[in-house]
Amino acid sequence: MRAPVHAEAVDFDEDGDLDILVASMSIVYPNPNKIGTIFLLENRGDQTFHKRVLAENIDRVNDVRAADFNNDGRMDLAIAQFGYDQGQVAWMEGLGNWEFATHTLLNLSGSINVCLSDFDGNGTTDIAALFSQQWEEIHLFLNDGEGNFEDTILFGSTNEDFASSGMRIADLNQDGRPDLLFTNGDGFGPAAYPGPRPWHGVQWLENLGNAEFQFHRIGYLPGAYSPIDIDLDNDGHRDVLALSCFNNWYDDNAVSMVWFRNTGNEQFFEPRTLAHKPTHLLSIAVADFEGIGDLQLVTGAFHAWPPYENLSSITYWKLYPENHE
Amino acid sequence: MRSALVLFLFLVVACPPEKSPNPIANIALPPQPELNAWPIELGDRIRETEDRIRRDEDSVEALISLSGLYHANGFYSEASQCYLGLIQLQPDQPKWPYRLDALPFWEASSQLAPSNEPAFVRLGDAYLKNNDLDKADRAYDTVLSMNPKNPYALMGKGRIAIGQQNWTEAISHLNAAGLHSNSRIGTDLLVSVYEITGESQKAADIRENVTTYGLFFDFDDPWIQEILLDSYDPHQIAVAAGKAKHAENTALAIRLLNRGISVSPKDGHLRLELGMIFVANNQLTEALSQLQECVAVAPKIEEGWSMLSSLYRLRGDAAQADRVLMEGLQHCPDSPGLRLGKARRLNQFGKTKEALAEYEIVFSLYLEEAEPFVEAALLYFQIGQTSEGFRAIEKALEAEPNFPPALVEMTRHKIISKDQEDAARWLSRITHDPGINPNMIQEMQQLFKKTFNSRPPNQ
Repeated sequence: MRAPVHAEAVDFDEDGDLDILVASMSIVYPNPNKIGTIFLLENRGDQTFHKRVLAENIDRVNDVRAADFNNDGRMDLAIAQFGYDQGQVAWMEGLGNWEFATHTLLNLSGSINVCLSDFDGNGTTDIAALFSQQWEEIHLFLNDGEGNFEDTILFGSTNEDFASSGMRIADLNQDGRPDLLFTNGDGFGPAAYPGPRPWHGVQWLENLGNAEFQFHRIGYLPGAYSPIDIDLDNDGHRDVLALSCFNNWYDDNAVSMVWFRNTGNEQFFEPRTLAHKPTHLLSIAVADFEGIGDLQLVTGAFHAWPPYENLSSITYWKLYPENHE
Repeated sequence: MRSALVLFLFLVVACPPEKSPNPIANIALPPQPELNAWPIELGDRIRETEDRIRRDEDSVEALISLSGLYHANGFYSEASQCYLGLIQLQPDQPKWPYRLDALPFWEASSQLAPSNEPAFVRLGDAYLKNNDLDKADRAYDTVLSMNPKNPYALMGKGRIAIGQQNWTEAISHLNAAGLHSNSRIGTDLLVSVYEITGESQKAADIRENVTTYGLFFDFDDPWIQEILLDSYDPHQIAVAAGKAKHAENTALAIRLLNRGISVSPKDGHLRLELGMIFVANNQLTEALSQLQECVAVAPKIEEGWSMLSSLYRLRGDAAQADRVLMEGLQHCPDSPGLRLGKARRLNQFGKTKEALAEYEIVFSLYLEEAEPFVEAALLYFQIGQTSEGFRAIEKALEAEPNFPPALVEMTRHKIISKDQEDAARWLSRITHDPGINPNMIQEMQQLFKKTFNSRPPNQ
């Protein structure tokens, strides 16, 4: 498996255990060829896995998620094919016997994430997709329940260097409607070398109902990646954590992990630096890994640009709730 | 930068200005931001312009300067407050709403300057991203009425046509966008449209011939770019220079990079970029100076050594080129590019075994590109180490599964080594590959026929 860039645990074959869907770019650096692959690591039930190739020789795949979009009782897939010059967001209709029919939703390169939820509250699973490259847009594909999708743009920047870097579902205001949390901080673009930009940061699209969304800026974070919602100080409000991958790492004060503390009404998120090192952090997961009632973090780093110091691969972070460190 | 500016507009309301005898100061002077991390000169210039505004000495000009200083250095809420003040003071000046970077302000700016192409392109893009396709279409039409060759407006109309599944119109607009942008704008979408309409050969032809132009670039936007000559942020300046370079505005790119170097003299990346522009401009003396400075101030930037070595070679000084290469390797021993350069030089000197040893070091450092593997494979085949040759080609195809030279050399050497079954399989693989030159396919077919006295597959 080469350049696996997203893994998602889901009971795809509906046998009661979790399988792993993997999106593979094959090559992370720019490449226009059809070298993407979608794998399913099928759990045999004893935590050993059988590797299945669900699609291959397609534009590079950045994200894959599973749901039953057309209510036929079979799992389908939503895929973000970043590609390079060409790419797309599509859904792959499960036909049974590991056969799929691919339906393109939008032919645009640079799709990073697909997020699945019932965004308009009509009882069906919709798809939100984040596009980077020069497009810099978030699209919502509303599902009529039979696999027919209607495309609308929720957010778009006319700055071709906006540098979208990641999107995740969160319910920040805890109103029961899925909001979208997203970052912009990708390092590569029209500049000669990657680095911070004044417009990098974290923001959310508040779901107002009926597929209406409102944009809110959360805060500045140069090189921002991987936003995640978490109640870090146990005050009942959803906070936001985000990482920085493409910061100015020659500066010892550059931050690699920031906690945006929700002060209570989602109108102001107070930024607090959690870490300067390790640097180049790109990916984060949060869970009670130890089963002790506290949350722990796992981060992954992507050292694709110097300085090659303060390196890490996967880092485990324990939180100390008394002083929020 | 443009879109980020609007994000901070709300802050203007939240930050009332300090009271001053000059009404302009009360209207438009923002509270001074934290400037400790910035060059002293920026703080001095901001204070000097603020004083001029408060003393009402040429205060409008001072406010214009202040807006530029804030905008160029990423203080968007402060810049917004200045621009909103300038709009009150100079309601007929279209630059101020334009720089506020938001749909209603672009609408206002385009009414004040109905012949300003960039404003209408921005307007069209903003309407499109706001799902207002009719208004977007009209904005793009306005651009095209001024300049029928504007590739950005043509691409915008192409996107609208795609959304309406009007493939004929989409192809027409995207073809025109590509025609007027050296295939850089819209061609990527054109491939997708051809694939949708079943014109796979046209799609394949573009994929084969145009993908190297994959990098999109924004258009020249003088009302924004002129501000950045006041920037003290080397990253911002590098971004602006990169945009100017891609827009083929080399003069502006050079001015910006020189500005960046004056702000940050030890920034080797800026000198490297400037050196590369001079090389492309055939200004080799200026290039040499910048690249020498680059490796002097930032010896860890491997591309600096690599470019400097290449430049000496271009000027015919092979000995100095080799010396620079070796010096670069002393500073950057793990640089795959410099190691590859050394491997190639050893090969040119006929030191095949030493070259192969160097290639193996390259492979231990970097596995993402097929070309070095193919080069090593050819050397292995040359000295009769066939299995190592095939191993290297296999590695090339792992790195880039569709790399044409790797596919061709795999086919050629399967034929030469008289492995007919594998040779037929690889020949079959390349025969319909649009990425491989048809003459090369024909050459392989003839070699197959001559070697095996048998008809090639798929012929």
